[in-house]
Amino acid sequence: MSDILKPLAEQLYADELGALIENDNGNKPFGWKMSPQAVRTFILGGKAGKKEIARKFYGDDAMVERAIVTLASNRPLMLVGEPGTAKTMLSELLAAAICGVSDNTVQGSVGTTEENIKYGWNYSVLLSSGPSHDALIKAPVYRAMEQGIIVRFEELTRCPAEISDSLISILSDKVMAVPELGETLFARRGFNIIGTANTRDKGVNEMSSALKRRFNFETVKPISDSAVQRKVISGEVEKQLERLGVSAKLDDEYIDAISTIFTDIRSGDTVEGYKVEKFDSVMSTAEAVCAYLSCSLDGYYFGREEIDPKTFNEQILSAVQKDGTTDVRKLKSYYENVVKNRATKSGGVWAKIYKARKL
Amino acid sequence: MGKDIQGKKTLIYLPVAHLSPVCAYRVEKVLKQAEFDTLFVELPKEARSLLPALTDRRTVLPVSLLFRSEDCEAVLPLTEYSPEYVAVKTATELGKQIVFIDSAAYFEAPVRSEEAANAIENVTGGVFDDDRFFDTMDALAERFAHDITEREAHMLYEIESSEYERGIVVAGAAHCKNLKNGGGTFEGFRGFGGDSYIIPYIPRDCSVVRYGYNRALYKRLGGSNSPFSDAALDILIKQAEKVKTDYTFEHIPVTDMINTLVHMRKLAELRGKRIAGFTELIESANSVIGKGEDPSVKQHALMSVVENIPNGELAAGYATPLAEDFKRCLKDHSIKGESGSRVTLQILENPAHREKSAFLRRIRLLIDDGFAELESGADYANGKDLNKVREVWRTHSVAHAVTKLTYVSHLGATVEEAAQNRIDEMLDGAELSDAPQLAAVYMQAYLLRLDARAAFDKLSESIFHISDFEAAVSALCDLVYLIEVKRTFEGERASRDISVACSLYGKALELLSAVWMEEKGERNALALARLNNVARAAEYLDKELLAVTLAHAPSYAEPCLAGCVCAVHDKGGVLRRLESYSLSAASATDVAMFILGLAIGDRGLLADRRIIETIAGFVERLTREEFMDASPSLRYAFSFLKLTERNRVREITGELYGEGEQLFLANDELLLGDEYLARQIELYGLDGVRK
Repeated sequence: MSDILKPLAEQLYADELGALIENDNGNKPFGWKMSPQAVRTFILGGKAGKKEIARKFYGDDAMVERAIVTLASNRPLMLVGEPGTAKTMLSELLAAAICGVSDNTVQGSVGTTEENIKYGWNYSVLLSSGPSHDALIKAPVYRAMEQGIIVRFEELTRCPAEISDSLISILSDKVMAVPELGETLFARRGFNIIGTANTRDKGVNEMSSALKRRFNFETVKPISDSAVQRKVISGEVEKQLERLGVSAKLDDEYIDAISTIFTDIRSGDTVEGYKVEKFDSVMSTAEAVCAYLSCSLDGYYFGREEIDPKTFNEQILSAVQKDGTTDVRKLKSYYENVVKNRATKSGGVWAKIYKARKL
Repeated sequence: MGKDIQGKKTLIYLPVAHLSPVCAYRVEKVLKQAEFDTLFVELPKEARSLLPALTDRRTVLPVSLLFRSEDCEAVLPLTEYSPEYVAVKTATELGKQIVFIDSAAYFEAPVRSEEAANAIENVTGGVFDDDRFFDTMDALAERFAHDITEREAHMLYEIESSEYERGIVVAGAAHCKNLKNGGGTFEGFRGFGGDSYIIPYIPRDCSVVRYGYNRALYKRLGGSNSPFSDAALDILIKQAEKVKTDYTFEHIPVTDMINTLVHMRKLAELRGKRIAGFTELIESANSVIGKGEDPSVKQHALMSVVENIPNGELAAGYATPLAEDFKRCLKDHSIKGESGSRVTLQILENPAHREKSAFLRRIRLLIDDGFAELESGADYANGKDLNKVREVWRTHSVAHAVTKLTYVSHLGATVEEAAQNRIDEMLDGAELSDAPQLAAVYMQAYLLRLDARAAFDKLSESIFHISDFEAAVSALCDLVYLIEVKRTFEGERASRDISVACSLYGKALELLSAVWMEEKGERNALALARLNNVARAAEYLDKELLAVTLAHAPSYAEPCLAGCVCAVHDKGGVLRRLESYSLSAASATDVAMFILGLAIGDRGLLADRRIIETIAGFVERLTREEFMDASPSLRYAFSFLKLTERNRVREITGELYGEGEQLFLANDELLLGDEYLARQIELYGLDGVRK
């Protein structure tokens, strides 16, 4: 087993990418390693020759197609949406498939500077020998332009507008001036940007209209289908347990329950068709994965064969109580009405969960 | 094209590709030249009764045949280029017998094999409009024509059981091969227990029609020979013009339009389509122009332009009764029904507007993504903006609404009947323990001006099952608003529902305050909650209903209501009753609430010297703790007085007890009634109740 906690997408799926490139008969945009059709197959699943390609992204397939087309049209792509909707994963998969490099990334934050985006200097070399290529430290955007690859700009709206606006001229002209060296860097074919941004989180900045205009936007929405969400939860938990070297069995009933609960309170409609109050907290699939994983680990490390319904409830509670106590009340009401009803009607895991409630 | 002779009967097969202009042209030509007496066409026999509507000169294509049963829902799109449509139209003109040989019962039957399905999908996914497409389909049919399906066995049965001498079969290429080969066993008709309708086709649902629809569409746009990208550009330009006209600070740059066209074309390419359709246009425009805003003004403008493109139209008299009633109502209410047009309603002032609002709400209940969109105004379903008395509606395309209403035609023949049935369905689906949901259904029924008795009875029963804070708050908000709306719509003379709603409201408030008390440890919470309740009840109820309320809700706020009833009905006996009550009441708080009731009923009574003396006598007898309990109600009671009246009271109390003893009436300590109420609302977090 590798020591790396989370390998890059191009490493993890090297065999699939190889098979797709080998069997790719479609037209490739300049600088791309494979055709848009093959990129779609890589993300949404299908076949490459005889090799089965696993689906990696569950959600709006049409949105994925639009995202691919945006990049194929040489337009920068901005993925926006609530936290935990797999924007980062999608951008990583796109970068890995299109240029084979998914780690050329700017991690946006309030402390991000232009140096982190374009280029900086090794000051000891700079002081000793003046501005030179040796003294230049290339940042992700510089590298992407130079090599004709994709740069991923995570959490772009967390950067102050004056910093993110440094991208405007680069995206328009596809050139970057390096006045210290008296040079201009021309972007090679294949250069592009995939940005991600949260729409719901606090502490984000508004993008300037000028920068917005240069991007095509796609909204990544939470998974609305409970069955698909179930599949994602079990798949992701399985993967993470494997990485952690934990051999815990998945309990389908609890996965079903967690998926149903998250879908109900996110949508405001229960599967039975009743209205429930929508929660302020983001009830993303990623958090459902996290909650179920914790339940599994709890069982594994503390010697319980079955998932403890009390731990299950605590994990749900932990997911909802991030934004104050209002959601806790709503959750209590949900348990007293919806969960109670299911416990009475169908018993099983719902009865256990309801019995173990203490919110 | 093949020819087959079975006994004396002759059959000519015309294998076609659906939605192919080339095939449509050929079919028309052959039918006009060939000698035949019967046309067998691959259309479901359940749609046979729709033939007159389909071939009526006033029916404008594209339209779709809708087949709807409890188990399935299928749509068969027809354009001017559908060979099947052209065949029936031509045969009708020629006066020939027409037999529909397919059935909607087989629409969901399995295809021959996955391989065949994939191969067909690959071809139809990139529909061509030339002979190559037909040849490809023909070749595919040959490849997969090895076993006859149940559907085809049924088609053969329909043909063989018909009276004819020379027949022409117009059916899909693959079916024709198998029909010619024969074989298979027909074990009886599967049966389709549903209804068939014709619906006007609409752009947003037409991505499956692809080429055929695009062609029909841009023909209607006026450029019969233009490629679709020209039509798309035309739409984008109209969108930009609309954005510029309607929104001062918005515009769409030309570069965005170009990028949209490029994006659209590449998206179609990725999806294996030769030509981008509306789906691609709208998706690309939203991606490039929309900038992640959901929904942006630009998207609104685009949908408005798209929906205003003329759609298919069903000849008058053939639409379902519900759709016809909808059109009639539009006329009665003078609603234009153009996409994007706005209707502003003053629901407080204008009774006709209230009727119009109820009609639009009924439509929204029946088709949630259809005709009527509430831009601003009270949102009863979600308990938002309940204080708004003006409503602004945006209407969409009538064709879209007629289509959507056809889907719910089974609910009733009129908009009112269908809405009533939908409400009844919702009522059946709501649990007795779910008071907020029942309250919402009741609200809907009432505001839609439908029969709400059943909803009310179930709600009345359910309210006593409320057991938690959230449910109480939710039910409370709905009920309070219901009271307000009833009063608004029906004036001072309200129905018995108001009094019962008040009692339900009281019950909910009591629960609320009990929970609040438990959490905050506040002793006066229940009393304060009761005060609110009575203030509201007194405000909304007339004399008669006050008595009804007392009978319905003796357990809460009785002293206050008693005071209120005295003030209204028995002014002469007030003093006697106050004296008697102040001696016999169970607690000081009860007396204070009786006094509050007097103030609510007739605030002038509190400025009467004899009443003040009696109140003062009562206050003097109180212990400190009792006074603290009674004080909030007393203050609230005196807050009903105007400043001059309070000064008068202060003068009297000064004369009676000396200066400084009337401090509890000081202006800065008195909360005015409305302010007090607002504070209570804030206290309980009941923003939905705020006026």
